[in-house]
Amino acid sequence: MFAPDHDYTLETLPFDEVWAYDFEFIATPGNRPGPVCLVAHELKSGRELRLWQDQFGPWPPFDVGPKSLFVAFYASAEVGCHPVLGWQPPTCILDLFTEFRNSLNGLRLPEGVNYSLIGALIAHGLEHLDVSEKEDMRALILRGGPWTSQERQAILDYCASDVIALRRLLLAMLPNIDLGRALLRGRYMRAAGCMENYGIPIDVDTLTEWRANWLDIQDDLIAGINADYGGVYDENRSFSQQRFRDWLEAQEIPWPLLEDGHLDLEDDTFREMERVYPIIAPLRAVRNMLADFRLGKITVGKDARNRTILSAFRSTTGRNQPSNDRYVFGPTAFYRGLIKPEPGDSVAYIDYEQQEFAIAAALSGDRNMRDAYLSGDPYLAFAKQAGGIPEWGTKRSHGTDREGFKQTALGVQYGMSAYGLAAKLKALGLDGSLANARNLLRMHREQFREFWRWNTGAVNFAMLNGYLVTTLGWVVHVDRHTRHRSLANFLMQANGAEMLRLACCLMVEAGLEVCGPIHDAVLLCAPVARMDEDLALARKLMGDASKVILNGFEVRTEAVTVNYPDRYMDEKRGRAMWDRVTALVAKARERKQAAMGG
Amino acid sequence: MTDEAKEARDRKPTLTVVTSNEFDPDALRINQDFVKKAGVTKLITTVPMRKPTSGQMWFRTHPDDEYRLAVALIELKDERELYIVSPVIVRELPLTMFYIATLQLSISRQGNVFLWPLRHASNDGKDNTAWISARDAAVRARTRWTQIGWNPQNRAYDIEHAPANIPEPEWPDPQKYPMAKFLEIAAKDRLIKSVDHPVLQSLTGTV
Repeated sequence: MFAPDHDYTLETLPFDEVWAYDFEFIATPGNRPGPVCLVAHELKSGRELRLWQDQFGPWPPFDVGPKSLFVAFYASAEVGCHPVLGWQPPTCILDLFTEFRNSLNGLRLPEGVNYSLIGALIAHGLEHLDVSEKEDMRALILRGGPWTSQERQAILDYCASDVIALRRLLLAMLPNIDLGRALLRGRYMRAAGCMENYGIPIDVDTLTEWRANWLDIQDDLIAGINADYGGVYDENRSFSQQRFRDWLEAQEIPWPLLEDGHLDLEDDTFREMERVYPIIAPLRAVRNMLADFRLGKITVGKDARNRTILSAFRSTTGRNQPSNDRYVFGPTAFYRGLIKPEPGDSVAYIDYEQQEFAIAAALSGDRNMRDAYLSGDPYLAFAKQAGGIPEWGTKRSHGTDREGFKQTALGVQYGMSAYGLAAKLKALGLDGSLANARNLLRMHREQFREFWRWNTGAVNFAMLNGYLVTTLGWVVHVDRHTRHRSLANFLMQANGAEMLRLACCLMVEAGLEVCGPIHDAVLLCAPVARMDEDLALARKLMGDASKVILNGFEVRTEAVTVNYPDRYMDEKRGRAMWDRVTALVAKARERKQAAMGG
Repeated sequence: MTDEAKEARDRKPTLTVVTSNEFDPDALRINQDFVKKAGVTKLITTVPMRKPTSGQMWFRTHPDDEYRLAVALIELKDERELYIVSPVIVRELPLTMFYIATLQLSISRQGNVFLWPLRHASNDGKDNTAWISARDAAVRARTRWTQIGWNPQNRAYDIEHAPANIPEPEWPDPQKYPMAKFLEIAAKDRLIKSVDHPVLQSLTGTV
């Protein structure tokens, strides 16, 4: 297993004070938390703080500087309370959630264990509060005030019981905590708390109008989809598997089947297929909208900002996994058009260019791959290196050939087979023969031999040692359920997650208003007059973060800036559906106006 | 901007950053060289004696003389098998039973090594265009990726070169794999060391 360099005890932790602390708060959807009370124990001295909401002062009741360590479970929630109170967040955070997650990441959890505080206590054989008791107390808090003096005492006691549990858990986990890197993860939880606090500016007027007209546009949406997709919805608004199957056959789109031979209609499958066949995107969007009215679930606060817990470290690769329903970047791409800077403001979507390709090139040390990335167009360079495009060829002159090499390079990162690649090439109108796909994969192996050697070495290492670890210590453990393909992809994905986390830390610490992370990108907000300056700083810091993760190799970034009154838009995957819904809502509005006029 | 959003922006928290080396991300970087860490080495356990597949295989021949060795071979045409005859007994065999060939270490574009038997002029001094063109291709393949294709009209191999930008082959480590090692692997079940060998008995009709 992955072992830490130091074996700390509470006494030897290199901090003057070690605070286990917990806030109880009320968080209404989309709004900042409203702290109810705080309990904190200084573990070295035994000092205890219990503060009810009317006792919070203008400054934190403890030293939040670098000599104090703050221990919490899912610390971004605690951090989120600080700016609401006008308090500076702690400098050093040890989050027992991230460390517990890291200790079991990739493994099937034992019976009764999950990644909650209670789950961690159970996993360590420690006493814990009964789940139903905890739920009762949470319900009492969320009911809101005023609380009786007994209720107030009960809430403080409940909060204190979590802090006592934190102390027990810390003592149990400490010998196996890789402190330096754990503090980096804690640093990200602080940044996550700040980003959650900022939130993403939303065009509430449009969202409200869409919500208000939702019922009216459903039939029109279905009619539009039926016209384009072979009448997949029947007269009862039910999705017809047979009609969808017929349409797929007509389009020659192979679709995953369940064991019983039925089409796999899970949203994850639609998402995967949408990547290969963009024609699926509007259908998936409508299915989602009709299925559970996701539009109604995006959580927007009173200040017109979309906020939800980012669920940092929730995925195996360590990437954030915010709710698909509540986060505006979660549902289908056209919802992103709801992002609109406030008057006087600007937003910038900044993403790493070909992040996974760059990571593979840098960490494997493959010279051809590095050259390809540094050329500015890695796919064109790959095609030239392999002799598929002449040296003088460009994206314009050999766009089709380049696309084949691009799909190969992308597919390899996900362990795509020759069959999968052939299907993808075919869907894009390229030579989708198996022979061509095999040929492209062979060329990738031949051109990027060092990468393949490194990648195979990583999988071998994982299988022999039972784990793989990123540059900054995020571990995936291996058991008999581990899939070879996910291991082969882990270092690209998980180091990508490390890179974005570090970049977010640097940006938030530099005072930039990072509204939210998105896979390998961030959304930045700033006054129009300051955006150029903020954007330049953000891109520099993202580059700096990549150099730390990749030992000096810099990953390029690209940015799209939108000034008020314009809105952000995912032109490739979201525009068609946005225009469709906008037109339908306008029609519904006109109908209503006509009815009122009549 | 709403009043609340404005207030939140005005109250943006100031974040202190620890700058001590102990928590410096650069200092905490874990080496990602898993090839070295895994310590896995690929073993070569099969070395076929064969010629490159005509018209299908791009190959290179090892440029060092050390990786060429003249041997006596017996070919069982029906079984498509080659046997190396030990020099100790070769003088005891009739000249028509074996031929002399150079075993040339070669490697395919996919990294598979093989020993290519390049026939010399026959024991009675006769040579032919097929053998000559194969030897020519083997020499050319020392420096360029090469493919051979059988030309029935000329009764010789056509030789093609790949573009120059194809990466050089990665030959096995010479410390671990000298020519003797390749011969040992290739001749595992294909070495005739005595006149009692079943292949010789079969060819001479003694069994």
